[in-house]
Amino acid sequence: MPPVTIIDLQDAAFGYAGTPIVSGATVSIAPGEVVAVLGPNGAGKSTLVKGLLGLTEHLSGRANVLDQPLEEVDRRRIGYVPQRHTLANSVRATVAEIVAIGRLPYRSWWRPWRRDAYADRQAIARALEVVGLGERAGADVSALSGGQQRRVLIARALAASPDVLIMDEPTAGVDHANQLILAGVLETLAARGTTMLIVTHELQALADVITRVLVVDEGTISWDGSPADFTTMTGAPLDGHHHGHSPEHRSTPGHLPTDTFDRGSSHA
Amino acid sequence: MLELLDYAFMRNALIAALLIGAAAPQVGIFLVQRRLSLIGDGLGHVALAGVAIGLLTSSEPVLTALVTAVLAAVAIEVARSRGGPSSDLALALMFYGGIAAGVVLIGLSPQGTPANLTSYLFGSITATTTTDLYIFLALTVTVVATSILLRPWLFAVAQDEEYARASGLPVVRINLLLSILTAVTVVVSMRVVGLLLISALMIIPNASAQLLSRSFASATRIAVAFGLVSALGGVVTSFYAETPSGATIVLIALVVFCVAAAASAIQHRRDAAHARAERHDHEHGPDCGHTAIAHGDHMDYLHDGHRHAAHADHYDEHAAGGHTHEAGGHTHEHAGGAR
Repeated sequence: MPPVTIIDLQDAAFGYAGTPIVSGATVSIAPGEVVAVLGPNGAGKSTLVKGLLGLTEHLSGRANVLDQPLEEVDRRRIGYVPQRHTLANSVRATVAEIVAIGRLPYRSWWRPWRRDAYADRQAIARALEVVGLGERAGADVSALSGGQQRRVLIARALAASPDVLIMDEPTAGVDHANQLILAGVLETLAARGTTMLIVTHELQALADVITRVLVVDEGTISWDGSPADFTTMTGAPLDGHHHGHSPEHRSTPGHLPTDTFDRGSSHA
Repeated sequence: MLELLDYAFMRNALIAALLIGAAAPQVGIFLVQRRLSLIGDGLGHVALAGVAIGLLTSSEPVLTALVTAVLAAVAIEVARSRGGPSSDLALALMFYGGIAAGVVLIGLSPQGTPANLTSYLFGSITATTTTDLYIFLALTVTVVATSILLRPWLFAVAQDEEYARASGLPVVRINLLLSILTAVTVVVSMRVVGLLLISALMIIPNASAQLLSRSFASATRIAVAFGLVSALGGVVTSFYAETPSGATIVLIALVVFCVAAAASAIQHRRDAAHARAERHDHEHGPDCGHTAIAHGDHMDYLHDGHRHAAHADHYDEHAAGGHTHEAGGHTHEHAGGAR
């Protein structure tokens, strides 16, 4: 049975070591919504979304994900796309090997002969097709560009067939051309009805996909509404909510990032 | 050459080398991946205290070393997972305390000759007894079976611990397991490689294999092959050259590394020569509008009259490289590593 609400917070608090960073968070997200989470650095965006992933402590209030209390939900149903630096590694690995990690929660080590190996391969191949990396399954991830590495991380999350995707800055530090490709991938996912919660500083890059905007400021959800209302409120077409962070995150209208070519490749 | 098999101690040493050559790199690759390359050294230091306890109490030194090293491994993982600024110092205190206590206690024991100490520190081909060998065999089978069976989990947790936690994998238990596997490998290796050089056989074959492979799976296989060559080659060389076996094994592993580095440099030079397509932001794919042509194991895309094929983060020119293909479904490697 499909979930009625994907995320349901009522006066929820999240933090570290018993100390709340985010508190009084109340929001309800329905299936199919694509929600941008905006806010200045240090406002608590990451603490909030990582709380939903079980990575920060849920301290008080109600926090239900997929109609179940956060602590009891099947974690495989929540897909996580972390920031790209998590792909930096000291050993070689292919794109397919990384994406296969997404299938791991479905495997049991005491059944190495498991009969669903075929299903795993299919899920991995499908996830790579969705993000447009089907041709590069055998490539060394460290040889890929920054934007391609983001898509590897999206494919890893998709391979687990999640009901909701939580993404942390999927477009940050990616050149304009690759941002368009990433936005295209997110549009494909949105068209398939995938619910997404996207922490971002670059609302403009994702303007066509977003159906709702949350602003997190000073440790709570300070604004919640449609992209159109957000535009009216800020007086500018979707250009993010960026006071107090570095220039490379800015993408105001008419000022697109100029580094058209992503030189993230370490192919020597 | 076969006369060395006439000696019982050589047969023992060769079997021990076979076991550690296969096991050490398989555990070591996860230490390299987690950037803990030196943790094996620390466990070696602590294991010396265990050896000393065995000599003092007249019990089997391999077993007391095993217990000590496993306890230290658990303590290390607890200190690491608690984190904090002092965890690094806590490890240092444990490692230096271990080796100092080991040297003093071995000095106090009736069997505490300098030769005995040297053989534990640097390895010796005459040191492996038949009892040791049975213990090593049981331990190695356990280590290799565990690391093969749990490889995907060890890989996932070492690759991205946060993602592993978010997807509900048992991160703490997997890390603890890796730490214990390392301790067991240290003890199995200590007779032949010696406690001071123990980490080398876990790390150097992996450093070499990383130069020559593109995937984690192939890197593991190559590292095991290099580990076997180094361990067996080191023991044989040490028999003829009358050198300490541990240091000989490590030097051979380093020679393998140099050869691998040279081979990888030549390969890179060839790669640099392959024909890159002009830069374009467009990504080819099934729906991209360009005609796709099956070419061996991949697709070429017809782009303004020439063929593009995906390679690393860019596209290569195929067919422009001087050969054209009839449709025949053959599989071949393009010169220069193009796929």
